[in-house]
Amino acid sequence: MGSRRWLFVVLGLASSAGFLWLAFARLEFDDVRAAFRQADLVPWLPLAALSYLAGHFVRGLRCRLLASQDAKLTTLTATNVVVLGYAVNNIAPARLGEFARAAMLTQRSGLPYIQSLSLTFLERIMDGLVMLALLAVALWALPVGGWVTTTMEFASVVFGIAFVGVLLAVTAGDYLVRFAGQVGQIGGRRVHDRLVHAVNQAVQGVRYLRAPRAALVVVLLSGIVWLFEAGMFLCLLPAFGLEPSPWVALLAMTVTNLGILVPSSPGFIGPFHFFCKEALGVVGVAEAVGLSYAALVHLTFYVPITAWGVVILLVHGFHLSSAMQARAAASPLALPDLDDMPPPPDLPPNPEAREITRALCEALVPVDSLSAESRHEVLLETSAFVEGQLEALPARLRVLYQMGILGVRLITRIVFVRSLCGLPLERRRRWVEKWAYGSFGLGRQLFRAIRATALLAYYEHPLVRAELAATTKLRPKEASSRD
Amino acid sequence: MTSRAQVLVIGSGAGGSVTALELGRAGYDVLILEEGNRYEFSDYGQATPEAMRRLYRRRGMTPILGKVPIGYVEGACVGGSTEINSGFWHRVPQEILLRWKAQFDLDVSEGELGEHYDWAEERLGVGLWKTEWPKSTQVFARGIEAMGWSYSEVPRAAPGCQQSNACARGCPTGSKQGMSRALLPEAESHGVRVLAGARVNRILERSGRVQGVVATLRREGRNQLVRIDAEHVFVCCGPTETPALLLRSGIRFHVGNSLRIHPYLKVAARFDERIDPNESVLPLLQVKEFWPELSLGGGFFSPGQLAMTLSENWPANRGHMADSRYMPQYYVGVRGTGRGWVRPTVFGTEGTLTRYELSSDDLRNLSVGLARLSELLIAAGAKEVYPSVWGVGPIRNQMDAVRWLDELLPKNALSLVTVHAFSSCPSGELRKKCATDSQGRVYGYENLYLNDASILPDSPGVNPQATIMALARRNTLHFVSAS
Repeated sequence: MGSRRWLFVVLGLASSAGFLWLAFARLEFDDVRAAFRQADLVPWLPLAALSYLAGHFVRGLRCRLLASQDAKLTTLTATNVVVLGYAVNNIAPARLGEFARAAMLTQRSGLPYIQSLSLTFLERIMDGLVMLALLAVALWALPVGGWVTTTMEFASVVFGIAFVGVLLAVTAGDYLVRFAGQVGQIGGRRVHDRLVHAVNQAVQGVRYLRAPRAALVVVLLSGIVWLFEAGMFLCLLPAFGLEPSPWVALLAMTVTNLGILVPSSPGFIGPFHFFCKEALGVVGVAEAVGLSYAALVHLTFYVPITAWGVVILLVHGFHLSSAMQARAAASPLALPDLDDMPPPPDLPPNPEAREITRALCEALVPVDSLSAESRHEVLLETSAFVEGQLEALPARLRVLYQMGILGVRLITRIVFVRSLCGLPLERRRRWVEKWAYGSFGLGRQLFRAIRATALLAYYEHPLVRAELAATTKLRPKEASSRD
Repeated sequence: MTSRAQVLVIGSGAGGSVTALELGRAGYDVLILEEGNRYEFSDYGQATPEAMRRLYRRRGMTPILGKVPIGYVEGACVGGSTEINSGFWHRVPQEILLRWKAQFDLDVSEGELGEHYDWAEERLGVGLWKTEWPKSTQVFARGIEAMGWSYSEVPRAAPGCQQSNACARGCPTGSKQGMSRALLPEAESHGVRVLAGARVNRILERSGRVQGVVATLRREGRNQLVRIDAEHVFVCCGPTETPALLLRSGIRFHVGNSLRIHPYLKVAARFDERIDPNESVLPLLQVKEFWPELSLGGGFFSPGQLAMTLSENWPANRGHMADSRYMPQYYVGVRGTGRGWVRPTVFGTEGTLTRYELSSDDLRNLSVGLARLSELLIAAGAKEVYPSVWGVGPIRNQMDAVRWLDELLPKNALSLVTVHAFSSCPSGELRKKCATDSQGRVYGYENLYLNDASILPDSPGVNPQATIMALARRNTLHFVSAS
């Protein structure tokens, strides 16, 4: 271990000792012991542990989704990866768990190490933002202020900056890589190649969030994760005869988790107890009870996950040294072997069309005499093509299109008190044509891409072309000569 | 392991292929980086939606923005746009070369280019139609003769064309001489390597000397960011991607600020006689009477493309789809005098934004052109002419047609397209206007060259492929002899 890492460990231990002293100062051990003795552990402790473990399964699901662009993991594997990170943080110093988790993700998925690491930090940033939101809710519900508010303000700045970074990586990732290259070139080839590689991997790590719906799912999952964790805090309140207030549980959970960002010993001993006890203190819980509560929450937090992590380490034969090796192996920009390069894969197929695209396409293509089955097939392929074309639009136009269609859907709701997709076909056709071909110029512009591509795909479909060839009008002269 | 080349050629279209072939013949170690995939003839001629997905940049969704958005497409496959164009062949008239000399001090003469045109025409088997003109050409000729205007049959780089009407979908018979057939196999026989699925993100330069590129290799599994070193780099990515790449690389001197295009207005004409435009090659004649500001000619035909032309007034026009065998398509093309620009995007995935504003002359010429083309088609026997202009109903007689000699088409009702863009990095000795010298070397860089449509100093008024190839060969041979 290098001298800097030793320094970290020593500082962490000193910090833990300091916070423990702060937690126990002014307290009589007998009072704490008495509070513990009176604690009603059944059924509250098992419920709390279950809630905490359930949160880890949701974390696993979130991890699987975030990595899904490049790696196919089962939810159980992803959960194991997450748990390993927490377990290692509980037994090893300097938040080595984050690196161990990234290394295991690399090992299980084949993702580059830096990409795995950026996924881990992305989850941490999401967690931080969700926690801030939950803390805000708790502060709104509970009339407390003082140092809790200050903590929130400080954390808001830290996570706000991190959030802006993630936002940039999600929305302008390629630009960030390019910018990193320009900056890196000042430092020469080695610096350039390493920096570009690292930023590129970090950007790849947040790629899943580029789809707004996917980002929303991840945010929601992050919320669920922390509600489960708040569930652990909530379940243990009645164990000490405290009122099971969700607001108090939220306050204790968020303050504790923000507090353990302070460097400390493995398992966050010290800061965990101090911040948890202080959070309860601001809502009037006695210090001895608060500390006993904190100790029990910490055990619930520590024991099951650490045990699960140790099992993973034993079963999968994962060594902590792998984390450091994987980190060291993070390579600079690749130099490909151009003489041994497989051909590129085919371009992505048409995506599955969204319901709104299908509904619009159905309204835009003409009535025909195809059988119901054929028409269904033609519409399916037309909508899929149109969806692919819309996705290929430059980002700026795509966003404008989506906003415009959202507006049309809202207006439809107001005018018809029904969704656009739910309108009967004939009415939907008349309504869509008003927008697409009417005198309102912006409406025509909005529908230009979808109507042109829908008509193109429709009339290029072999079934439609065959029908068109069969039904093309013949002039009277030609018809008689054919007879 | 090879991760470097003596010369990198970025892009494999008309400019890149000629460059690579001549460098290969001269004994250079050449690597072509092509963003798109490589296809066999058996992959060509697919239905339009499938062809767009495979062969077109961003599936054909690359509009040029402006007060009047203009549909623009270009190829993104090995062979570039030469795989999806009509194969029409024009030498640039001397008048245009003289104007380029006067305005940009481009050091090139008609005589000097002549040998390169000859070379290209021989390689591509450029020639006139050898059998009876198809019906869509015959009726066009009838109209031109009725009007007494001058015209010419346009030679094509498609010896032995079998009228599969699939030029825009990749010629499945191999008659049309796209670069993947005409030049690249020979280049490869001289040791040129072609790396498909390789998008160049940035050119690495330092103190006026290019060191290589950073590129994304699209391969099975995931994209790989790589570095490829080179002694010389020729950028031949086309009129929009070349300036975008230079700007992404921090090379800005007169880059991307002077995009020019040929805006086209499409019309469909309904005749009483059967034309069957779907079963023949596109009309082969161009009216020269009003050249260079205005040209009239024939467009690609398929039921889908006809629907797109009719779609501006679809509620009134949709019934005419049943007349598709009687409805060839033609166009008014103007030598654009408006100004445009090209910029790389910041948000979203790496992309390119293009903008062009129609000049008042462009609008005037489009209006006059519609009048002239309608007169011609009605003289040829067309019963109705349908311009792709919203709110402008069918033109049924000469009186309807001549209206547009005196009136301007409504700007916000136009639906324009183009396949010809150029001049985004003009070449010439006039440094205050040009990005490269007359031989395509980028000002300020000793080993960076441009060799594609972007270096044409201004709009040529004719299909640019011949001029791109001739200039590219001249510049490459100059490079070879100079080094």
